Parts: sequence; structure tokens; C-alpha cells
Amino acid sequence: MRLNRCVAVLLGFVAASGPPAAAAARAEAPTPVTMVVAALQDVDTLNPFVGSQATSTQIFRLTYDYLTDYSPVDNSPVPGLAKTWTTSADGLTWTFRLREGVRWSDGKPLTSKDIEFTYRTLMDHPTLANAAQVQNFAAVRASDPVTLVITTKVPIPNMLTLDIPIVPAHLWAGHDPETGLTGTAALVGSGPFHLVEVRQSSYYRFESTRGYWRGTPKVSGLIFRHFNDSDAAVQALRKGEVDVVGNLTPAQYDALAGDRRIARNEAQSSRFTELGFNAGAARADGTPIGNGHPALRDVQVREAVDRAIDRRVLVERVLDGHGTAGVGYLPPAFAPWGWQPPPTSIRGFDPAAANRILDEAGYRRGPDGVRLMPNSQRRLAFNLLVPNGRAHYQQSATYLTGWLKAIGIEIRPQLLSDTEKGARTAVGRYDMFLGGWILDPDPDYLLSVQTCGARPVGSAVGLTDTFVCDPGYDRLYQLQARQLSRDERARTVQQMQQRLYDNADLLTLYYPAVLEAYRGDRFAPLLRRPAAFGSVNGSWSYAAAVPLRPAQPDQGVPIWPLVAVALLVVVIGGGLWRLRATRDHRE
Amino acid sequence: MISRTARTGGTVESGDVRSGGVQRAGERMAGVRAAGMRSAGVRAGGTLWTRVLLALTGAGLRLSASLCLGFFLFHILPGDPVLSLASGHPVTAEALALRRRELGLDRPLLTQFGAYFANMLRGDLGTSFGYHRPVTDLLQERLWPTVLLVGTAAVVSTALGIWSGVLAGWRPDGRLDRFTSTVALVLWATPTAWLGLLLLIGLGTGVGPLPGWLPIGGLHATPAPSGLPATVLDVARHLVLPCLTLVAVQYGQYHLLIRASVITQRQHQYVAVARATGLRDASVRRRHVLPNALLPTTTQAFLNVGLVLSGAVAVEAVFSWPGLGYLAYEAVRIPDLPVLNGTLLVFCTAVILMNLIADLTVAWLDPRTVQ
Repeated sequence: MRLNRCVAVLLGFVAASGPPAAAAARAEAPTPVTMVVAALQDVDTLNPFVGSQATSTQIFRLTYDYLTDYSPVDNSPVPGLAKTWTTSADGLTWTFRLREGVRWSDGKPLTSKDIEFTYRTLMDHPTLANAAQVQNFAAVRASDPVTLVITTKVPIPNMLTLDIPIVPAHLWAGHDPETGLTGTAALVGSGPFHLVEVRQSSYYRFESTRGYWRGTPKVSGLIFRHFNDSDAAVQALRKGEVDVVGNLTPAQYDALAGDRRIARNEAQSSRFTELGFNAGAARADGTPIGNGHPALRDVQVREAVDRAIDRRVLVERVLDGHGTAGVGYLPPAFAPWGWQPPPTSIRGFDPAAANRILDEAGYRRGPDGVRLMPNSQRRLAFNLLVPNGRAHYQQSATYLTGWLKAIGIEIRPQLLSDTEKGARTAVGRYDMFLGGWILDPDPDYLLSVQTCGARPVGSAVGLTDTFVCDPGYDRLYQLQARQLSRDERARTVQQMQQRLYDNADLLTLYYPAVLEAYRGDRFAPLLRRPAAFGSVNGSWSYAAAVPLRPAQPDQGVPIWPLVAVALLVVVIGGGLWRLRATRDHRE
Repeated sequence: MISRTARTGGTVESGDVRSGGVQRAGERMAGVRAAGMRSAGVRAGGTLWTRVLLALTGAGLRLSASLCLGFFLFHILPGDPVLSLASGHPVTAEALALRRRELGLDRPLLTQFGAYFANMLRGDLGTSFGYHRPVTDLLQERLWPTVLLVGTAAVVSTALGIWSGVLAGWRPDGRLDRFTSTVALVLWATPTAWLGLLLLIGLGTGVGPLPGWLPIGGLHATPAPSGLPATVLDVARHLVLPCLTLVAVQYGQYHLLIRASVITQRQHQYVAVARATGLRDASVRRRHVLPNALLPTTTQAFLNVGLVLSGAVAVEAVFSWPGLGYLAYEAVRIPDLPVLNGTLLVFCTAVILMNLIADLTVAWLDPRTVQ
């Protein structure tokens, strides 16, 4: 009797767990298509004044508008809320003419007052996430509903790539921007999608905005589904539970190659991995800090290290071929800012030359094969901080250790967390480190972290990456900040990279590709930004995604074989049980 | 874990021998068991309440000691929350300094500690650095998924472990024992995350002819269905795989524990007497051996519930289960100090509370331990 009830419950559960989802999909299949994107990072907050995680900023790009946008073709600035703009001769006054008829998702019109409110809020609260971008603003004024005038203290070259979501002033006025809004007010935006359901750490559901000024998105809805584990996200892609997965490991990416339903994209030149040196860590006033090895202050040692590294091997073995060998600070394909040295002055892989440089500079070999500093017994033994967040750092460190041993330099890799690495480098307690940056479409911030001013003031923590301080570089940094012509500025930016290269302050090892995959059987090829080699994982691609066919229901789950198996198990198990019981009895 | 298991088992075993297994078994057989329990309860009346009071005081002391220790331990975690939250974004050094002051991280450690403790007594656990939300809200949101997962897994794995352990221990080294004990040991030794991923690929995605009929992680379908019955069914479907993983790696210890106790009990004469009276083996096992063999398992089960609340991190990671363990794990990365302190509070409370309950339950189940 009891057994029968168990069977009934079991069967009921099995029967109920299969078909409903498939049946529902079949019933409402024809029109709306929802795209499901795997989000591997949690959303820290939906408050656009504080959110800084990658997933959050991606959501802001979907739900809000910006003053200007990036061109999906080449990342150059294109109109956003601003249709046209003019600059005064001194480059200090910008006048933007805005698009008319843009509305918030609650129906209220979006005017210059909203942009003025957003920027002023950031100017008044310097700790907000995007406040650094307006630190040189002198005033923002909405002279009429469609005109916005911004005056700045110094010329700002990245004025047309401000990454600041514009929020509705009528809802935010009077609220603390730190705490943000709650309830439905927090979901009001003006972007191509608007949020309709939030389940933190589970999923975020969006609906497309009908009549969006750039065109109504082709997909009716979008879901960001949270995954803690990228292997699980890949499985969900294979099964069809999600449509887009970004940031794959080379192994995951290669394993998806045979699947005809899945399209893959290898985005290039959006990040780089560097080997940083402690070439004399110091505060902004020049006071030395930390405990860096003195030999690394010698540019010849750094050059020798550079020549001992075989970058092609790193790309092939560590990145499995998914990336390109590093040269300049910014990737050469990152037009127009990227740079690479002319072939004549490039420091290629040449261990013999590295040994020669060190011999001539007086670094003789000690008894154990490790070189000693000139006129001293101090060995060339460097610690190397290796963040444990990504596998390629650890693998690269192993290669570096072997290559540098061949030129008489001992490397002691220290595996540590990203945060600990950050804390150690910030106070100069390191010799060398492996690290990386993700590129914004505008290079200003990455250039600024290599200036003397980025070094720490007093006991505060600086923004510097490797404590570089080169007055010549700083002069060029000031110059590019005033150059409003993109071509002229690009030339200066390239000269700056030349200086970094000549000083060998940091060595770019490689530019890892960003590996992505999506359901090619459900969507037409997604839009890349930039078009030639960019990523498909972003608002530009979701808003433009074209569903191929009405959503096909997944193959109906064959439920009867399962029921049969379950029945069989229960019957046999029950029989055995009875048998055992009587055996006990017989005994 | 093994040594603790062995020790607990040992204590009960010797206690049993001391108090005279045969005589006791006689009592049970005569059906005096319930009455015996009651009289033991009356006899121990005064001491039992003293014991409860003492245990409660001890638990309170232990809790505050662990929280103090945790607070200072989290502060020596490497990494600077202000710096790691700002990393990779354009910020100014002044903004960083200001932020540090806002979060109160520039104050002396003892001042921070005082503020933390005073706020905690008022029920305010602070605001998460990473999520910009009150920690109490986060904990409430994450607690129920974890309790659901861990609770279900605990019930199922205890039941399964007891069932298979009793059968295995009844005929040690028999074919059934060799089979079930090997399976239990192998599963116990399997890395949780790996097993989870295998189950996810096998039953979630589907391999070969096997259809993927269970969802790949998460607590709800996306989007979640509306209505109570649909929601319950939906969550139940999502619960199957993570729960199965936890049960598979957990039930082995109950199996081994109860198997060992049953083997010991089996040698007592009361079993022989019971069988000699003509009782069927199944009822001898259930009515006479099992109650005696259950004591160490009870302790273990309660302890595990406390521990596993924090220990389900691997399962929560693989199945994207929005639980407490993963919240704490992620918080270490920043480090998100208020969240770390908050989760520590929950974990410590769980362990200490479960210890307390285990103590009291065992005392109630077996009055000999009170004396």
C-alpha cells in the first residue's frame, strides 16, 4: 500500500517535470522571441550612480541613453541623445543639440534638464562610480529643453565618449544618489530595453521598448541569467537554455567547435596582459616606498628580460592560439590609438642578445649560475606576483621562470589573489607582477595610470600601475588632453607608447582574445563592435539581434521511456525487498 | 571527520556495555522502554534544566567569541575593499580616500569593532560594500534557498544512510554490505563540484540517448512561472540535481556510522534473545537494534546541518544556486567585510544551535548521558 503511494508520487513528479515547458513554448511560439544571455558576474546594483560591475554597466547600456554613443563599426563617437554638437575655439565650451521626442518608460519626456541633473549630481558627489569623468567640468547648463552647454576647466578629449547613463530627474531629484531609488521608479529608463522583473542572483528580465528612437529591437525580450560557473553556462548553451555566453576559456571555446547549432566569435584587441616592473616605486613627491629590487631600475636589465621572452610560444601554448603577441601598450588593431614599434627598433626574442646585454652591463654570473649586481653580492633574484584569478597568468609565469633562468635571472613566482596583488603593488612591495587591463573605447584612463600624478600622495593609495614617472610622457599626456582633433591626438598617443616602449617600463606580453559563443541556429550572425574583430556581447548586439525563425520548442522530452524505467526499477526493487523479507523470515 | 565519528561511536558503545546491554535489552523487549525513558526524565528533572541553562549560556559565549575572532580575522584578509571595488575604473585618488572615510575604514580597528558590535546588537549588520544593500536583506534573501537545499539534502541523506547502513551492518561483509559500503565510500570521497558537473552534464544537458530533462542550475525557470503550484513544482525540478549531488557525497558518513553501530549492537545478547522469541529479523532491526544504534548518528546529523549551511559552496557554485555559501565565498574576493561578518553570524549560530540541539536531544533520547 505504502509502496504504491510512493510509485504514484514518483510517477506524478516525473510526468509533471517534463512536458509543461515544451508545451508552453509550442503554444506561444509564433511571434515573440526572448534572448537569454548568460551573465557570469552578479549585478552589484541597479543604481546607475554606483554600479560598476561589468554586468551592471551592460544593463545600464540597455536601459538608459547616453549623450553620445560609440559607432558599432569603428568605436568612433556617434550621436546618442545629442544629435549634433559644436566646440568653442579654446575647446572649453561644448554645445549639444538634443534629439526631440525621446521619452522615459513612464511616458515623461526626456529633456536637457535630465542630462544637466545627472552630470551635476556626479559633480557634487565625487565618490560616485562615474564621477571621475566629470571632474574637470566647470558648469553644466540646460539653456533650453533641447540644448545643453558644458564648460570645462581644461579641454577634455573624451567628451564625446562619456560613459554616463542619463537618469530621469523627475524621479531622482531629492534622492540620495548613493542609496538610489526603490520599487518601480528604479526601473524607469529610456534605453532600447526596460527592466520588468528583477530576481537578484537569478535573472533580470527586460522587454524591448516599442518605438525606441534608434528602432524597436527585433527581439521582444531579453533575459540576463546569472551563472556562478562558466562550465554550467556552456552546458546551458548546448542545451538551448541560454543563447549567448561570453568570456569562455580557450578549452571551452575549442570544445564548442563541432556543434553546428552554435556560432563562435573570437574578439580581438580588447585587453592586454603585461609584465610590470618595480623600477623604483615612489610617492608623487618622489619619496621611495616599497622593497623593489634595485637591479630593475636599470633599463638594460628590463630590456634583457624583454628579449628573453618568446611571446609566440605564450600565445600558442598559454592562449591555445586565441590571441596575439604583445608589442606596444595598446593593441595595434585598436585603431586609431594602437601602436607598434617600427620593425628596426623592435626588441625580438633573442636570449643570446639578452645575455650579452647583461654581461656588458657588468652583471656577472655567480657560482649558482644566477647573475650578481655589479660590485655587489646581491643576486638577480626577483619575486613575481601572479594573480590566481585566471589560469593564463600561472601558465605564463612558468614559462617566464624558465626563460629568465636561461639568462641568469631567478624568478620566484608568488601565487596570490587579485586583491592581494593589488594591495602589494599599490605600496611597491614587489619586484615584478603579471596583470592586465580591459580597454575602453577611449584610451585616456589607461594612459593616465602611467603618469607621475598617478603615484600615491602621502599615505593615500595611488592609481599608478607600475610607478612609471617620465616627465616627457607626462608632457605628451597633457598635450593629447588638449588635442580635440582625433588624428592629431592619436599621433600623440602613439608617441607616448613609444616612450613607454623605449624605457621598457612594462612589457606587454599578449593581447588575449575574448571568446564568445551563441546559438547560430536561433539568431542571425550577431553584430560585432568594432565590426572587423569586436565582441558580440553587448547592448549594441542585443538591440540589433535578428531571430532566425520563430522560437523552436526544444525536442519534446521523451517521457514514456523514463516512466517505463522508473516503473521497472520500482517493481524489481519491490520484488527483491519482499524476497529479502521472506528470506529473513525463513531463517 | 572520521576520527570524530569513531570517537562518538566508541563512547556510546562502551556506555552501553557498562550499563549492561542484556538487562537493558530485556527492558526494551518487555515494552518498558517508554516508561523507562519517562522515569529517567523525572529523575534527571532538576539537572536537565540546569543543563539547558548552562548549555544556553555556553552557546551565547561561544557565539560572541567566534564573532570577535571573525571580525579581526576578516580584517587581516589581504586586499583593500575600496581599491578592489574601484579597480579598472577611472577614479581619482581623492575619491578613493573619501570613499574609505564613508565606509568607515579609516577609523582605528577597535573603533570599527565597537561600532560593529553595537550595531549588531541593534540588529543592524551594516551595508554591503559590493551590493550597496543592507546585509540583513541579503542574508534573508539567500538564507531560504540554502535552508531548502541543505535541509532537503540532510533529510534525504540521513534516511538513505540509515536505511542502507542498517542493512549493511546486519550482515557485515555480505554481498550487500560490500556493494553498498563501496558505493558509499566512493561517493563520499568524490569531489563535490566534479560530481555536480557530471550530474549536470548527464541529467541536465543529456548525453547520447539520455535526454536532459532537468534544468541546468538556478532556483527558478527563466522567467519563473506564476502561481503557487507551478512555482513549487518549478523549484522542486531545480532542486533535484543540487540536492542529489549533496545527498550523494553526504549519505556515506551516515551509512558507515550506523553500519558500525549496528555491527556492535548485533553482538549483544538481546538480539539473540529477540530472534529466539521468533521475531522476524526486519522487526528486530527496526524495533530493537535501530533505536540503540541511532545515537551517534543523531549527533552527527545535527552537527552536519550546522556545518553544511556553510559547506554547500561547491554545489551552490556549480548549480548557480543563490545561497548563503556562495555569497560568503564571493564576499572574500572584495573583501566585503559587512557581508563576511553577517554570513559568519549565520554560520556560527547554525553550528552552535545545532550542537545545542544535538546535546539536548541525545540527553533526551538516552538518559544515561545525563548522569
